[in-house]
Amino acid sequence: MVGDMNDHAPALEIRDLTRSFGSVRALDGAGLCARRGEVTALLGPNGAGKTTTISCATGLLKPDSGSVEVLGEDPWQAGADLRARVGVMIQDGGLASGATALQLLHYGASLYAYPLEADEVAEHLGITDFGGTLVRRLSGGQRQRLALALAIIGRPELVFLDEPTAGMDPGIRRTVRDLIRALARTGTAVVLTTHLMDDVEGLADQVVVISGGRTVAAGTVDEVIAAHRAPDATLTVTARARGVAPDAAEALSADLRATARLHGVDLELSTGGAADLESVLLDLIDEPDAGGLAAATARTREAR
Amino acid sequence: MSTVPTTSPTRRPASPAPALQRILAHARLEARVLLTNGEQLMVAILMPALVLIALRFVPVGRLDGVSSIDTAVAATAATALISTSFTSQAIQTGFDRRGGVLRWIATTPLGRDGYLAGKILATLCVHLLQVVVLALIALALGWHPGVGGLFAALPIWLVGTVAFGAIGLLVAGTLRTEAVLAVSNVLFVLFVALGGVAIPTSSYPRLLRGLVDLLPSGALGELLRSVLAGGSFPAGSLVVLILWAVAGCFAVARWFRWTSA
Repeated sequence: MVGDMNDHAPALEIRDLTRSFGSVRALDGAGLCARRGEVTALLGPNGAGKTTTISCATGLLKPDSGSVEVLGEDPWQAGADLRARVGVMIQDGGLASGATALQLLHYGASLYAYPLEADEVAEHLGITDFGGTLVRRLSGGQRQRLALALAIIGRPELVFLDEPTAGMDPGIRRTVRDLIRALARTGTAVVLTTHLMDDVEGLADQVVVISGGRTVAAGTVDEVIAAHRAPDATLTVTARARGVAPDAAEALSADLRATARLHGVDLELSTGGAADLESVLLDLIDEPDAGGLAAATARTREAR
Repeated sequence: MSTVPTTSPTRRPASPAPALQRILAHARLEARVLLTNGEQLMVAILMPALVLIALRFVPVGRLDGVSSIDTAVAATAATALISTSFTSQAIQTGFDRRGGVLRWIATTPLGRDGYLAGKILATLCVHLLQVVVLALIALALGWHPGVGGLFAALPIWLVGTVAFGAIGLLVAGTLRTEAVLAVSNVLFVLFVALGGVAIPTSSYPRLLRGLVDLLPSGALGELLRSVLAGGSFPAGSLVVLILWAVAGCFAVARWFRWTSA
């Protein structure tokens, strides 16, 4: 099946899922829908049931009850054809420790009929720099990049990413975020679990919150926030003024304080430098080419 | 970044490579990891080689009227088979299980069946390398193999690989990784030293002999001695080894856990 960029049909549908481990009920009616061309963030505290949900969706666990449909099929009965259409990134794990990073990436590519070019994926994600290093000697962030590369190497239609940016430096993190956005833009359904809220706000089209094995909220970030805000709660308004000349900062601050007094609220002001820490770091280090993979894969496609 | 053509209309659909290609790719990776790992090489090549040299010159495990190199080769062949099919596989699979490798592989087109097929193929490749290296050492030590014995050893070798491979997977798939390491090494030493490999079961006290004959190592040792060092063919040992292979495969299918959780 080949998706369409504008096709937002469900790629993953989970309804009323239950799963127990002995006397512990890990899932108690969880549900979610992840659509093609969208990033769906699965959120919740540790032990909420996220991993069990993903395990059921990837065919690793058989649910006690409820239904799971992955690209229209039951993942528990999945054969190689369905597994080839689904990419899975397991956080800091799943990598054969005795192989080198590049050996493992080429091995991963050889499991698919029409994979991305392994060397180009490696170049894009900065894996080439440590390609000859044994997996057991890689840092956490390097392993994350390799696991991400293995998850997307088969050009999946649905991809599960577990903490995709955990342990990464700012440059690679930005590259990975761009990659996730590009995956969604080209029609892939992306399901990510993360504890980093800026990843969620920056990437997620839909958010599903699981707690105690149940889905307690679902929708866009704004919808979830709006639906769960207490009616009488106070709000915080945050603004950032960029490009303020140093000699104008004092006058601007005075004006803002006056406006705040007019509305009867306290105002906290701070004056920062011309750049934030992340931008400075990115300027100081060599960041991988964010557009490299797109160009490389486009070349690959033309070659085929 | 403009496009990552994972689902663009112009790209081909995501699909698996042919099954044989997937299995061969996994076998290549497994064999490469085994053969580039110093500890694994020590278990696969060095230890059997030491057993061969020791049994050639130390008067242990010999049979009346049989050349010492012949009994040494038979014992070494059994040692090599157990080290690679059982010890190496148990340790590597145990660590793969703890590291989530089995979990990830189960989500790829290779799947669990492909993983096991690739692993068996890789084990056979390492066995071939063992046979070549150990045969060269044995020839240098004065071994004169008979063609009939070598052909007769082939089916025994295959059944032994399945039996010990299954026991290795059972250990790897049911115990904690630390326990896998300890149990597989201890069992290896027990199998070789006391389990009828280095010493023929006929040399054991009568009470122990019956027990050792029922061990997979005892059955393998007796079978390889009979075809490589001469003597009557122990049909009972063949039955015992086949039963271990069948029971081992059933046990793996029933109790092997793909995750360490």
